[in-house]
Amino acid sequence: MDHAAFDLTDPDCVTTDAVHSHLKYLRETAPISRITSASGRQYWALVKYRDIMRVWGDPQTFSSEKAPISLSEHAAFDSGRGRIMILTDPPRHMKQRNIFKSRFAPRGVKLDWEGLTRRIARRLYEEAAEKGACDFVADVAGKLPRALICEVMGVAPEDRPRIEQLGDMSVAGHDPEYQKLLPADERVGTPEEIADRCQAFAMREMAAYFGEVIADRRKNPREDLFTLLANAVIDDVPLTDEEAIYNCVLLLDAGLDTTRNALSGGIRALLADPDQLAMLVEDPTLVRSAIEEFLRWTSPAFHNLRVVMREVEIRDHVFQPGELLTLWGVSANRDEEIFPNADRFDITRWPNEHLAFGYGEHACIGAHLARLELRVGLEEALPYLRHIEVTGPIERMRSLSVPGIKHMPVRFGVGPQPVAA
Amino acid sequence: MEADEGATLRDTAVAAGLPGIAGVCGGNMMCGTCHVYVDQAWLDRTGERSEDEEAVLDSLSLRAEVKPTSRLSCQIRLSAKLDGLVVHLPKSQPGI
Repeated sequence: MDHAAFDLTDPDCVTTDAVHSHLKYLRETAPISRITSASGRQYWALVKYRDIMRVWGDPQTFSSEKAPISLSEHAAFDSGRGRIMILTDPPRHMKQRNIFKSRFAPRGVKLDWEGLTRRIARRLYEEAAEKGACDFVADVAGKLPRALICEVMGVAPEDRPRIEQLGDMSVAGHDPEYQKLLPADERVGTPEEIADRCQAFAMREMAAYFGEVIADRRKNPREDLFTLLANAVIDDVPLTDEEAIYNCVLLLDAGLDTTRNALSGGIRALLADPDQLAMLVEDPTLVRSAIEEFLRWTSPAFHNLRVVMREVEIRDHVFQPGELLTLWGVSANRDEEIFPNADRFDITRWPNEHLAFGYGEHACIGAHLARLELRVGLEEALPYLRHIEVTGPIERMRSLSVPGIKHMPVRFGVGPQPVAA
Repeated sequence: MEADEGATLRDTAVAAGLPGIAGVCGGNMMCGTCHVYVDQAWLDRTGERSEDEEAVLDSLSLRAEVKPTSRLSCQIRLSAKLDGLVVHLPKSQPGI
């Protein structure tokens, strides 16, 4: 493989399976390396678990607020700096997160949402099995997290299809499949310009929608996240509309494709490994460790960025303020120093200290909701798993941040089979 | 370590710069990185885990060794009766 030609800033490289051997090559020969985007912007690529954990654990030295959100270099979220949680630094960031403290805790999430998650998941598998063949991603793995986050947020059912499309556009504006809502006269220019316009369009449309909902929830409070954001106060000052709206977009988007990718990518890995599939179906207590391996294996969020705020040394390399670091969580999750047989998909792996949800102040606030969806999404698959077959090539999302599977054609051979209790 | 009456073990450790207790969420029982093993001799005096703490430790058990003596140190409030408290630190703090 020609590692010199592999470009971590190019979705056509990053979305192929070759990305794993390239990252392994970097872990072994260049744990800190320089990468340059098509526009000429310089970044450092960090690929080792301990280095990445160190950076994520020190938000004072390594800022989120001053960094672009991803290598895609699109401005859609950048305008929300200091307001959108993912691009906010201490001290405000922790105060924003505390608004949601009670809603995303592991016990609360289970009590509030397990019943609904199971009803939805069961129905999705039953419908897929009845049809006999489907697109596992579009028809099952994608629908579950979408339904859940819309419920948790409080999106009205009639608004969901559009909100889901806008969510796709804002995260994967690079991908022509998600550009359909963009008016025809805006679909001109270079692919980068179109991607930019997609994300800007999606942000504007979502901002308008969320603005209306927030105004409503101030007058008519409910139990949903919209209400929480609409009425939140930090240091005795209510959130501005803008801050509330940006965080609506974040909470919606963050849960749409990441969880979908973990479930479909994990099930795909399981279907390719009949021995482990059999082991799981015969012993469903393995579901919990299986989903941690799904997360490690798929690493839905491939990379993120930080900006260096003061001179700092990592591994004999001295970074200067202003330098941009890309942190490849997908590489951390295959680091041989941490994970024995890192390239092996192993549903019994323990301890599974993956960094799929990040680490530190910015670690995924929705991690327990995601784990609930994955656990139930896998449990409800068990009665069908032995007879599900992938029947065609998969297609990946053309994204540097969330390059998961967007289509996976499958056949359900039979209806539900009895599972070990 | 010296502690103030009523402070949590996590806050005291972080303020003292003790490596090995990260507590990255600021003591809000959200991250699982302030995990400690209370010394057997002190276990009774440190109180019981709440159901929420149980759920966090349960999640942590897939990623780290959780023992019957495990506690989140952000949930241990220090007082005179805990003077001399001994806890053991885990190998790593991967959090949840």
